[in-house]
Amino acid sequence: MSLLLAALLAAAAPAGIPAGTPVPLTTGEALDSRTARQGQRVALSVRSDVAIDGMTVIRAGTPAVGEIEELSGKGMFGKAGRLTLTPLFVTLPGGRRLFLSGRESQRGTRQVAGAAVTTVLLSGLGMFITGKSAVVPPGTPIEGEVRSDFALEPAAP
Amino acid sequence: MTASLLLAATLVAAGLQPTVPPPAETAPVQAGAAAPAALVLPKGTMIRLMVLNEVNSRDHKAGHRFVLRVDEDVADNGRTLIPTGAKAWGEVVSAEGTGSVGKSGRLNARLLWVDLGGRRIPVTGERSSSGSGGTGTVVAGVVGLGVLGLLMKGNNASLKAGEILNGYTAADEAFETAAPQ
Repeated sequence: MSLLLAALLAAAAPAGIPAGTPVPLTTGEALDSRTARQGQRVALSVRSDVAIDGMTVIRAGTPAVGEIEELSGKGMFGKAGRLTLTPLFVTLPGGRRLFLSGRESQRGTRQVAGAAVTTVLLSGLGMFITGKSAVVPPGTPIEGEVRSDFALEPAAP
Repeated sequence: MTASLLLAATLVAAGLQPTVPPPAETAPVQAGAAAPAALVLPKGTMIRLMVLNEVNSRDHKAGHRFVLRVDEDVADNGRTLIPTGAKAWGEVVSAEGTGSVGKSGRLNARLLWVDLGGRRIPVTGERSSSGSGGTGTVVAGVVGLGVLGLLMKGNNASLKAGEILNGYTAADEAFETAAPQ
């Protein structure tokens, strides 16, 4: 009986989130390469539910934090500014941090609205922006993935 | 009360006198205060570190060790395990100066450990290595675990003072701490 219960519980709630699980994110605030600082923390949120075996383990809207890992140029002397935004962690309900890394497979270029000279390159390592005044609007997607296996605490009865 | 005093002592020791080992009597006092509960800081926990003095490819060679400072408390269940201000070490793996005009300087460094009152907590660092072409084309790739790569065009590569790097604990670390009061 207890074995059956345990099996049912195990089937219902995944024990953990494996490393490499994709976590889609979106920026929550505008970023400007002219005013940003290296090391600055940036508010992100989870863009859509993350599910393991059909069970949602991270809900859309869960807050996350990214960081400006690299910043160069800042548009001075006509040089293109470059800004790298890397996802750091998701703050799970209860305060635990689920550490993330950038997702390498998501590579591509896209135009940022309103600035023809600005391109954003989304890659596993973050986001690269070139242009004299690169502004990343809120709601820009960025892809993260779980950095290392993460054990979920058993759900309260 | 005892726990908070201990914590304060740890903060002071780590933040102001990082080279001084903690007093030997710390452990017995701690053990006597309450039944110690082992807390495990899981492998892969992020530690925010700040570079204290510039490291660059012109002045520094492979093997040069540099100091960083923990820039954010590492806490578990509200208990601070690694306080802000603790000292950490990194090491230059390779350094190439500018040489001729237009050639890029390159600096590779890795994180070594956080020094917690003499106890070494190994940390690894990871950083994208990126170089920019004439039109800002970015080539990027993850440099292997523990290596921070920096490539700067037409300049000496450097880790500037105040720059933030994130390290990750290399193994599970057990902390013997008194039970919360």
